[in-house]
Amino acid sequence: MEDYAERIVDRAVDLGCQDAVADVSVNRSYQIRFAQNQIVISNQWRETSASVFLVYDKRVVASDIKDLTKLDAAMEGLVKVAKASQENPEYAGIAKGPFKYDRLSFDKRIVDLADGSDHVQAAVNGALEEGARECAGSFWKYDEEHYLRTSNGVKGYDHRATLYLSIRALVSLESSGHGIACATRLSKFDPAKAGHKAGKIAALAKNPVSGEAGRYDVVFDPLILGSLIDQIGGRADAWSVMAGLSPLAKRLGKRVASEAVTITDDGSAESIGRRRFDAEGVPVRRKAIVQKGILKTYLHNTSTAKKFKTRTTGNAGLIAPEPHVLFCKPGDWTRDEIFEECKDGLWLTNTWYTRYQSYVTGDFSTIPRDGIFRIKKGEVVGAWKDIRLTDNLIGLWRNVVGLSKNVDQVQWWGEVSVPTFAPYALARKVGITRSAE
Amino acid sequence: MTVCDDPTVEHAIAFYAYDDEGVKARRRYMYKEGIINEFLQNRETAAILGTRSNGAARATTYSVEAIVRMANTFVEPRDWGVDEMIEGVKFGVYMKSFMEWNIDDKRYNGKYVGREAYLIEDGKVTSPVRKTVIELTTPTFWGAVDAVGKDLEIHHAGFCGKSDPGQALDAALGGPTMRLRNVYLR
Repeated sequence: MEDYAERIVDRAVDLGCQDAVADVSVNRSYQIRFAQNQIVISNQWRETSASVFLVYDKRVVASDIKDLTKLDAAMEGLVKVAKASQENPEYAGIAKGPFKYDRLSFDKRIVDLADGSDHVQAAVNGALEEGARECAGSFWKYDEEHYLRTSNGVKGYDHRATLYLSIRALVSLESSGHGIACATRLSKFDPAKAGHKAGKIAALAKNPVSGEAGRYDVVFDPLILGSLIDQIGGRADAWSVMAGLSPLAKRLGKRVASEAVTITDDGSAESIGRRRFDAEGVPVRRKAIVQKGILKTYLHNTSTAKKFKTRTTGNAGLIAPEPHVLFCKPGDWTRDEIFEECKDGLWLTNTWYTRYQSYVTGDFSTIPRDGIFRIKKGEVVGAWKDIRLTDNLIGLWRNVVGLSKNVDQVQWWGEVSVPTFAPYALARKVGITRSAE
Repeated sequence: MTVCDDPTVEHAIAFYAYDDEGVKARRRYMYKEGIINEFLQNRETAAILGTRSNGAARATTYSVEAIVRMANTFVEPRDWGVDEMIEGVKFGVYMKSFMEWNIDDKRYNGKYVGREAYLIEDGKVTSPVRKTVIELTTPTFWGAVDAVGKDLEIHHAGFCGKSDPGQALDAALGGPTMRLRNVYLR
């Protein structure tokens, strides 16, 4: 695979490219999907493919080559596309290597795992024990190797192996809960806990009534807070800022959250998103995006960093920088204290379909799903449905008043796309709307 | 009012002649004259529901299974002109495009926010307006339609995300201009 990566870069340079990056990856992932408490499908992948980035006279092309036996023809085709493309005036180069990387770290027991059905059963049993009627979800063993080469002296190898499980438990079509388990060590993978959480929330969410619009104090479960953290991290990339797609534009050094909030990105930390280097081979490292509420940095690759007259943050994305793993620094409240402090409000456990009314102002809405609970004096007094969280991203984060001591690692299809360590949070005066009749 | 999904629309981004299970594509009528008529089916769902596949199975690549997907979805045109619809409005809003849009997992509570929108006063388009928000239930939205235009356009080409592993597949949506009466807009 190393040879393929070398060949791609050499071929690109021979064909006249000034810059080239090749990431040859070998994917040996394995998935189980389950529904109505049963395993319904099992998939195994063994795929080798190359992600290619090349630049010909400031004309940028990025693509994937799936059939490496036709590499030369594929490269000629890509250079032809580059020659026919317009110059990218924003492009400013790739990182100059070589670099030294952290020690390789993966759990061989995960790589060797051949059958995940016991983990699925543990999750389902956990949910059923809490009163769920049926469960559905997916189990994943992710196993990828990456061979990276660039035309600027970078050579890197990485092996990433992680376990993940998502389970949705239902008591009825309108009473459900969602649990996540993820780990980089087999010994730390706890699907039963995810099942129990999903089942407990589903059982508590029985007989929901339609909610009322207004401004409420809200307890955010880690899974939904993960979505809001994902929005901060995802909108902090320099490309989104340049493209007018970020409410964080022109806010460096300014308050974008309450003093209780510190959000960092760290692809080097032990997490399901851990990696040794970014897409151009720069070693990943920890950096604060938001520190005590103040926006400290955008996320950069080498090219965007030159535009902003700063250094890369190790967050390539060769076209657009991207966060790797997000951390919301925990606070000093216990989970019980977070709830006790919510005298009259809501507890939201999950959400989906976060969309912006304006990327510039940060006005957005997202739709709470699974258990939505009415809280009075810290206690659950009922379940709700049919509401929408409608607010402003920066305004909402400014209204966060407390964070719990413990964090959960979460990731979820579509909403928490970046692995995130999220605590419970209490925010004041969060906007809730509902459909007009 | 009829809502359909049709992979056979030539030059639309989600055109295909046969789906990924080899079923011949055809126009599917989701709502026909206001009544729920059929669901999108593949061979598996059709077998479970005791019907036949209507050719809605697509996969993004060889290594993932074909699942039920929408293709080119639109409201069938009728015979109203846009000017005609606007003339019949004493006070309202003309939303030409939308920005924020989402719907809950029951597909019951939807929200649409105008991107390019104008005030209508006494049957005439007057000034641009911002942040026109419709937050309605599905029955309320479709039940409020009292005029469907003849100006069909299928131009909003994008990707529809579904499944695990995620399969982002090309899909288009469109329709004629429609008029809704007496809906709450803020």
